[in-house]
Parts: sequence; C-alpha cells; structure tokens
Amino acid sequence: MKNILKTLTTIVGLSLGSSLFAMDALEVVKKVNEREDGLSVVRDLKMELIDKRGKQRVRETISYRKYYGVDKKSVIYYKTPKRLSGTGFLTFDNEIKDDEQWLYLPSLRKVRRVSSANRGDWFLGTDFSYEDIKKETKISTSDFDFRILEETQEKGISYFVLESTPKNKALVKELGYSKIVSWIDKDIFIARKAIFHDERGGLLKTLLNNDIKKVDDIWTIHHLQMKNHQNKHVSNFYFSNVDYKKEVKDSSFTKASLKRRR
Amino acid sequence: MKTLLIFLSFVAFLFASESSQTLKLRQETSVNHESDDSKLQKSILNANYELNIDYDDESRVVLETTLEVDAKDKINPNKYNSSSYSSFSKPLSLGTSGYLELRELYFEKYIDDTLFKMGKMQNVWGKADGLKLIDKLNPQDYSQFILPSFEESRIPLWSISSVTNFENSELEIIWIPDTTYANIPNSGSEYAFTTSRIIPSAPQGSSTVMEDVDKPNHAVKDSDIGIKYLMMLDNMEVGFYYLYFYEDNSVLYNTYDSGTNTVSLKPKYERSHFYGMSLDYAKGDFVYRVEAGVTKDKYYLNNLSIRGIQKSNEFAYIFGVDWYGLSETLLSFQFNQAYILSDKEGYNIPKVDNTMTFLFKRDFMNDTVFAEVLLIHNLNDKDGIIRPKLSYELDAESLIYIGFDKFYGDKDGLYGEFNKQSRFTFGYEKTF
Repeated sequence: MKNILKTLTTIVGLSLGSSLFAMDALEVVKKVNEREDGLSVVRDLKMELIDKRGKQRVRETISYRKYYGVDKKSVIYYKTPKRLSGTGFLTFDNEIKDDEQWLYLPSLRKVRRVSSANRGDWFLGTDFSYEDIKKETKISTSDFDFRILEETQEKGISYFVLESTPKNKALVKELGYSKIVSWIDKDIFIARKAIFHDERGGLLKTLLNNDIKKVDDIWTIHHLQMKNHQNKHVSNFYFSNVDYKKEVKDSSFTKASLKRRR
Repeated sequence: MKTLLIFLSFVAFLFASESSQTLKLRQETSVNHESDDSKLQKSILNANYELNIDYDDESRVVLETTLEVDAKDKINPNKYNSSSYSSFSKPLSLGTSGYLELRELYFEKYIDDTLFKMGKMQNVWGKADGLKLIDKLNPQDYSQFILPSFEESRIPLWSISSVTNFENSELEIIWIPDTTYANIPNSGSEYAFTTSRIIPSAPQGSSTVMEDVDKPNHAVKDSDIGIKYLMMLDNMEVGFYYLYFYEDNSVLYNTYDSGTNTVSLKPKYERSHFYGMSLDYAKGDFVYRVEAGVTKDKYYLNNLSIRGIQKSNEFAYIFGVDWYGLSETLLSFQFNQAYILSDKEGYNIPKVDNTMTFLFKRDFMNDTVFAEVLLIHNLNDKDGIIRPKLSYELDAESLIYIGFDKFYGDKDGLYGEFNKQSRFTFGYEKTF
C-alpha cells in the first residue's frame, strides 16, 4: 500500500512538474529536430585532438551531406595529415532499413563495408561517437525517453535543461550512454552544452557548442568542444567555409567517388 | 602543330589548376629470424612523391613516383631486368640496389555520372584480406613474396577505365593494354620460389635450363578487358565480374632430355576467362562477405600430362565474416577454397585447396596506437604465416612500427618454404 501511494505520488508529481514548463520535453525535442539545417551542405572541418599531456594532433577534413527525403547521405575525407589524406568515410543514414557505412583507406585501395551497429564507438579517434556525429545536434526519439529537468537562464540566454535516457539497457550498451543532460537554447533550439554519462552512470564527457552564427540564414555551430573526463582527452571541431547553397552532386556519395585521390 | 596544341592545352591546364603534393619518406629494416646467412635482410630508404593537379572538382591529374634504395640488396638483385614488365612500364634500375618507378600517372574526369580514368594506375577489385580472388586486374611483385602491402606490391598498369553510377548500382569497364605480368623473384634471391606447387620437380641429378619466355606483347591483341557491375539490393551489395585476361603467372612447360639429363623450362603466359560474383551484407555487429568465381582455362603443373601442364577450369570462393562487436576492434575470419574442376590426377597442388585467415585489428589511445595480427594458414600443407604488427603515431605526420613475419609449416608448402625468411621489421615513416 505504501509503495502504491509512493508511485502515485511520483506520477502526480511528475505530471504537475511537466505542466509547470512552457513546453513539454517531446515538444522541445521536436523543435530541435525540426530546426533548419539545409538540404545539403559542404564544409571544412578542422579536428584538434589534445591528449592528457597536452599533446595536440590536427586533422583537416572536408565533408558533404545531402538529404534524400528523410534519408541522409554524408561523406567525409581527410585532407591532412598528409599521411591519412584521401581516407574517406561514407554513410547512408536510412530511416527504414539499417544504416550503411563504407570506409576507404588509400593504403588498401579498398572500400570496406563496415558495421553500422557500432554507434557508440569513437569517431576516427575523437571524443565524439559515431552516433554523435551522425545526429549533428539532432536527438533520436526512437532511442531516448525525455524529461525537462528545469528551465534556467545564464548569461542572458534561456535554456530548457533536457534529460535524455536510453529506452532500454540494450540501447545504453549500444550508445555507450546512460544519460545525456542538454542545455537547449530556447531561442534557436540548439544545445549549447551537454553532459554525457557512461553506461554505469559516471560522468563521461561534456560538449560545448560555441560560435553559433547564421550562415545562409541557418543557425550553424562553428566550434564544438568535447571533453572526455575519464581519459582527459579533448576534441575541438572547427567548422569553416560552410556552404548550404553549393550544389552537392549525387555522385559525391558513390564508392567510385570515395576512391578518388584527394 | 597537333603536338604544339596538346602541349599548350597541358600548360593551360596546369595554370588553371590547384595542386597538392605529398612526399613520404620511409626507412625500413628487416632482420632474419632464423636464417643461417647474414641477419640483415633489407634496409631500405623509400621516397614516394605524389602530385595531384585539380583543374576543377571534376578533372584531375595524378602523378606518383617511388625511389627506393636498399643498403643490403639481398631481396631480389636485378629484379627490374625481369622480362615480365612491358617496355613502357618497367621501373628504372639504379645499379643493383635501387630503382625509380613511375607508380601512377593518370587523368580522370567526371562527365555526367561517369568517371573516366586514363593512364598508369592501380585498379582494385575485391575486398578479401591477405588473399586475392577477384583482385586480378593488376599483377603483383613477389620479390618479397606477399609481405609488402598490396598497395606497394601491386604493379600499376597503363589502362583506361570508366565507372558509371546509376541510382543504386555502378558499372565499371576497364581496358588494359599493358602486357606487364607478375614479377617472380630470380632463382637464388631471398624469396625465390622453391615449392613444388610452383616449380616443376626434375629428375635427380638433372640440370635445368630456363628458356626465353613466350610473352604477349601486342597492346591491342593481348590486352585484358574487365567489366564489373555492382548493385545494392536492400542492405546487400552484390557484384558481378567478368575478366578476359592473361594469368599473371607464367606457365612452366617442361621437357626432359634423357640424353643430356636436362630439363628445359619454357615459361609461357596463357589466356583465361574469369566469371565472378561478390556479396556484402551487414547485420548488427557483423559484415558477411563472399567472393566467388570460375576461371575458365587455367593452366596447372601436372606430372602426368604432356610437357607437365594440364588445362582445367577452377572454381574458388572466399567466405568472410567481420565482427565489430568490441569497441575500436575488428575481428575477421575468412575461409578460402579452390577446386580444380577436372577428373585428371597428377596436379602439383591439391585438387581442393583450403586456406583460412584470421585478422585482429585494434586502435588504442584515440587512434595513436594500432595493433594488428594477420594469420594465413593453408589447411592442406599445414603451413602459413602469422604477422603481428604494432604502430605508434609519433605526431600527425610520423609513424614508427615494428612487426614480425613468422612463416611456419611444411618446407614444400607455399608459406613453409620461407621458414628461414621469417623476419622482424621495424620502420619509421614521415610525410611532408
């Protein structure tokens, strides 16, 4: 009886709590996901990787992305370091069927099919996971349950503080996160900060999205910083030459194109 | 006048373009593990220069050259005197210990959905690790057997290709007029073949005479042609291949003269047809791969046949499974079978030849440390090679590595014959 009462109190409390906020959690997530990010985009990405001793490595890439209805194709190529130049990673993000991924290593001259199930793996040695990169600040409604923890204001910016929890244990393992807490800017519906917790609930990493400005009338993040609290590694992503208007040909997303020298 | 116009067009191309260049220097030393001879197997300095000239997003010229000198020169002295190269593809020998090679020089251009390429280049089909079944377009330099990467040992050829992309498929057509074939190490060099799988056995006490090679040399009549069609069926990638080609390894016709107790070997290149297919399917943490094909009119050493050679068809397949279930890790297993489709007996290789491979790869410390182990094991001869390797990225453009290539098993096996060539290799690579 005591337990039933406790459960009821919690449910009522949560319901009342939700209604206290201007928007409910799913509405916020919907707004984040509906945010305009262009039919296609070409951009340079400089990846600055800093280890716990302060040793810095820089990778420069160019990436192309294009929507095909609800599906999305993207490809990223290394420009530097020259040792890795030409390495390409092609991804088809499919709404209905499984995602498809191919990796081209110039040293092998082979386009290798890779599993897309490794969503929680680190993306090319950075502190971002493949899933972080794929979602590009969007939030998966099929992977997470949501609730708004609070509405807050900091340095003149109002935020929804959103907690995202994987729907089940399998997803926790697959994504590598037990919880993500995001600070969503109420005006532009972009997370300016997110804290990721590992599978056991421990603090894993913190994302800061900085230098957010409009390009071709689309709000665009130009600097992402991901700090891994466990291995003290930091990844800074700097986007430049962002162009939403440049034509991105379908042939950019073919295996023949992936194999071209860069 | 025509030449002048071509020259002016080329100059205009250069001026209207952007270029990027890369110089990679590599010092690599290999030390024999078990040899009775001198321990040092090779100590090379390799300089690879690459120039890409982009006229626009769709047109590009690529140039790649390699200069290599070996302080030891034990691997394959005078290898570029090899008759297996066509006259316009042969690297330039620098004494007996070095060479300068034009690795690639080609022009490529997209016209609508078709990518055209013309020039000297590598063309790669198939995806198998450490084994070649569909990857038949370019011959291989066997001067260090299969130890260098395929990228390094694959011999680029003058060719013309086109790849046309359709909505869910692509069609590749390739024409190879270059009559260059596999470089087989000279007798007496470090990795010279001795296995009876490749070298015909001679009666005891007889001497062997190698006759001049009967090699195709007509660019049109003797050219190779290949067609590949790749399509996506739901989550499965399906490929179909056809190749009309000369086998890259010559056939050694042999004649025994009992009067002089001499065996004469006559190397000759023979034509074949290859019909192949491939499948790639990804599900969960697994990627399943199949490559299979029939080679029509393949020539084998056969003790019971006239001149020691028997023609047969061959069916071969590779089944591979890649597992990505562990973070930053790839575990891959492949099983390869090759069947001689003939009732005749007396072949120098098993009529069903079975090979398996195992590959482990793992990246550590945010992709700065790379560990890899490749095992290739022939189940018939119970021989093989195991190749652990560890690399460390010193900085973005520098890498050091250490590896061990351990041959084992039957001394008459394809791998076991090199038991004494097992080696430690360490190297340093710097890119500018």
